[in-house]
Amino acid sequence: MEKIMSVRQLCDEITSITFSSRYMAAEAKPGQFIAVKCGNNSMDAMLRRPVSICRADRWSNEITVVFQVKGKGTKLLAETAETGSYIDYIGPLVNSFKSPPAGAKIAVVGGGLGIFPLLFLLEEIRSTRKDIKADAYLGFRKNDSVILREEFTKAADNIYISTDDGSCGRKGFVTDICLPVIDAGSYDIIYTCGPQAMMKCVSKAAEKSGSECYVSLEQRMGCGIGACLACACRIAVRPAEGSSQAADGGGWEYKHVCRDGPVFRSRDVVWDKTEES
Amino acid sequence: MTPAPDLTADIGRIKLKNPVIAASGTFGFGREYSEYIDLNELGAIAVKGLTLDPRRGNPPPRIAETPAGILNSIGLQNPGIREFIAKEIPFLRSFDTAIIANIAGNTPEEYGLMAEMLENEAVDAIEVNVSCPNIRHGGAAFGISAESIARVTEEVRRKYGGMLIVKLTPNVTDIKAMAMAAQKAGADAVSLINTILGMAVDIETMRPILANNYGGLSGPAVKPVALRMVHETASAVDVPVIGMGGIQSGSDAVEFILAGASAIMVGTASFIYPNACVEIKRGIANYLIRHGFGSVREITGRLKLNRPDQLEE
Ligand SMILES: Cc1cc2nc3c(=O)[nH]c(=O)nc-3n(C[C@H](O)[C@H](O)[C@H](O)COP(=O)(O)OP(=O)(O)OC[C@H]3O[C@@H](n4cnc5c(N)ncnc54)[C@H](O)[C@@H]3O)c2cc1C
Ligand SMILES: Cc1cc2nc3c(=O)[nH]c(=O)nc-3n(C[C@H](O)[C@H](O)[C@H](O)COP(=O)(O)O)c2cc1C
Ligand code: FES
Repeated sequence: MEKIMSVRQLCDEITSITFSSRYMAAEAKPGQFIAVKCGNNSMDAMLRRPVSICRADRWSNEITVVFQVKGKGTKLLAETAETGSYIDYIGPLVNSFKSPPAGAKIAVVGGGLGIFPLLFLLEEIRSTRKDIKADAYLGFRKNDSVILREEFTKAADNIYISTDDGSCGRKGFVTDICLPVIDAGSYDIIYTCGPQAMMKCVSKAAEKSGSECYVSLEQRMGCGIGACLACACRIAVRPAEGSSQAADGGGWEYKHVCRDGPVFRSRDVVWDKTEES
Repeated sequence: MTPAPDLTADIGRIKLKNPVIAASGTFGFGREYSEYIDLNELGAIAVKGLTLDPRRGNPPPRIAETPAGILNSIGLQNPGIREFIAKEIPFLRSFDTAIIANIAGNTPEEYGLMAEMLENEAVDAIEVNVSCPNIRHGGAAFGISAESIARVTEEVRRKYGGMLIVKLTPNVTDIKAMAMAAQKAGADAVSLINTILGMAVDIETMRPILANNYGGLSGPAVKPVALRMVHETASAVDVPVIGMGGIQSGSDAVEFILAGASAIMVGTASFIYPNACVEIKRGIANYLIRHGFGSVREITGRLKLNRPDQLEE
């Protein structure tokens, strides 16, 4: 439980909550999430909802999460969160984006809600690593849903935006802009978060061009702490440590987003055959 | 000052230091919660359902939220009983709490084999989960017929001399008959309820939310059904009854104890509040103090039924 410092409406249905936590500010790493209780003791949205840490200010101890109203839980959270009230969460959970090696050129590719953990990553790199060059590729639905643009512009060297309808930036999918650059082998490491289809596309391109790639997976959760085994995802079982074989075809096992993730190496992920995108 | 109430719970062959047990499948192997709560506070931990060989479990989504409840179809993902013995028992033994090994098999012999493997291990009890499909009999769960409950219980009883709990499924017409069959076949206690078979549909995709289509319902939504079944069962058998289903607070737990439960298990509530078990234990103690009772035993089965016929006179 921490006190909420401010609540902001970023655009239609997207809310940002900033709360104060010395512990989180010291511990949180880019890629991690928290499991938030929506509403007090509500029987209707009982389970905690996972939301990524979007910003962590190490000096002011302010932590920001941003979420979209999707269903019952997030609606309740948007309705009840207000300055001075408390946010009930468990976290930070659990693993994080691997930090880039010295002098690396990196790209982040985010679609929709997937952009939030990527902002934390970029801001962290910007404030601690002068040796890293970072590009951001961000996909939104339309101009009205373009958010956090200023923050991304400050945190990245270059930012590229796409919208489904072309009302801001390039028309089309974010992959239309980033794939040619990834194919050209421009990046050492790529970090991606967003819809499955997008992450799969980016992963394949990264693997082909020999770039390292990290993805942040989503799955429905029960406990958020590795006990119920609900949040299963398919991860390749590697025959030997350090082997560089591709993940397809071989053995796999169910790992868990809340215990082993949410961040995975893209080549370890065994993507679903049927895609809902 | 009144002395602190006696929270110990007799559940047959063993005595727990308090009546609050973490329910199987909701508490991992204890390890997962050890960062959030002091495991020494628990009466016992029923570990994730174990099978003879490791199991991958079902494809995701494995969970769906429903009004006041959740549906799950984890599919008994577990590392297998051997790994449990090698890695998890030593960890759990470092805490002062009882260990209950929850086992599930494909055949009565498989249950027996697992019981045999546990006979000389440092577990305090076996809980037999009869909700799994009997592959030799068309896949219907063992737990839906008194006959197959008896078969499985006898098999385990033959191989295991320690405390034996049979965990009953609510997906039956007559829970009393199932409990009596377990008692007759040698169970030291029965626990109930396991989850109620259910379904949730996504109307946009026109598909069930769970990849497995059906799943087990748990949480507050099942509490009234669970309470009725615990009461029916406790009235029908002599062995202790361990009650569960939707317990979220001390007062929920007291309802089950009044209805005849000697101890209670807490499942879904731990997902929401990792320290739910500890809070529930405190709630039970406070109730006892408030009402001047000295022990949990004193209120077990203390429920007085209404006599509707007499009320109308
Ligand atoms: C690691 C991780 C990080 C996330 N970060 C963010 C973020 O920063 N901002 C944001 O807006 N959203 C984020 N999400 C998605 C967010 O958790 C869901 O949108 C939210 O849980 C939906 O809840 P609801 O009550 O509004 O919807 P309902 O449909 O009422 O939810 C029903 C149940 O399904 C679960 N559920 C529904 N959609 C998802 C989903 N996409 N992923 C996981 N569980 C889901 C809910 O948690 C709940 O248990 C993240 C998800 C994960 C797994
Ligand atoms: C995610 C999940 C996994 C479960 N796994 C098991 C299991 O492996 N073995 C078992 O006997 N019961 C299992 N159960 C049933 C619980 O132990 C308990 O009987 C049920 O959830 C009702 O209690 P509750 O309403 O407090 O959760 C599981 C329940 C849930 C929610
Ligand atoms: S949500 Fe329970 S294991 Fe991940």
